[in-house]
Amino acid sequence: MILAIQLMIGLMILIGVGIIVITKNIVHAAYALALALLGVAGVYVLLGAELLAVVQIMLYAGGVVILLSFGVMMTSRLRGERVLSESKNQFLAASTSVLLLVLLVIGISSADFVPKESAVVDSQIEAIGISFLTDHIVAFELIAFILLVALVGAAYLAKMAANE
Amino acid sequence: MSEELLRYYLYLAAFLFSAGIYVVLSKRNLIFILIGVELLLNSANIILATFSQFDPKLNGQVFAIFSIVLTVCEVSIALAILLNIYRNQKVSNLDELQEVSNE
Repeated sequence: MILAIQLMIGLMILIGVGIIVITKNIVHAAYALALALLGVAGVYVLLGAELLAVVQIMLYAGGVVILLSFGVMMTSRLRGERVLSESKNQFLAASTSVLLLVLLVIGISSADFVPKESAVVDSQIEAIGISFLTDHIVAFELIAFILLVALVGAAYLAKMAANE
Repeated sequence: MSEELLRYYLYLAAFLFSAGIYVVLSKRNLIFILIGVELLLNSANIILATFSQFDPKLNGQVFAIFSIVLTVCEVSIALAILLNIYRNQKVSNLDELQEVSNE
């Protein structure tokens, strides 16, 4: 049962990424990205990282994909026609990525992983929240500030584009 | 976690990474390239979450959340810049972009 779910989630990621690689239509690619990101959220659930799965669904599958599809709508030159993107250097890009995949697979399959029990954590959300506010407090405050600055800056830049 | 399962997740992350490299290198539209960057970052996040299974302090998951937040910043800024470029020069393919300013 759990094996079937694992294979299905792997298949979900495979199909989503395959569509992104093959398609020329940017809108299709954005929706296929949503499929692949939901598959990644499923991987997090299977790993027992529930908080990460929720963040993934809310920020990635909810936020980033919507933002990207709005970007497609606002920058499409051809009204009423499909938004297509050509490819260049296809052979070079394909050989680079296949070479990388082969190297990674060889590396992973030849690595010696010592089997170890998963760490038992009572409440993951509690543990992550406490470590945000104790061990990683500087990084946490910095990232909050960076997010604020980035969003204000993005709104300002977009307003500049709209006003001209 | 069994060793086969660990390898399965690592293979999945390797596939996501190489597909992301292909998309970044071969597509011409900037939004497509952003989609490829998302794939690359997700593969890194899968590995962080996988190995944080063995860490009782869950540092890997904390870093994965940081990286997701940084990705949101990156995408919003990149799309705002793309909107500006599109308004100035009417291009969204990177190859056609010749000048930074139209003045």
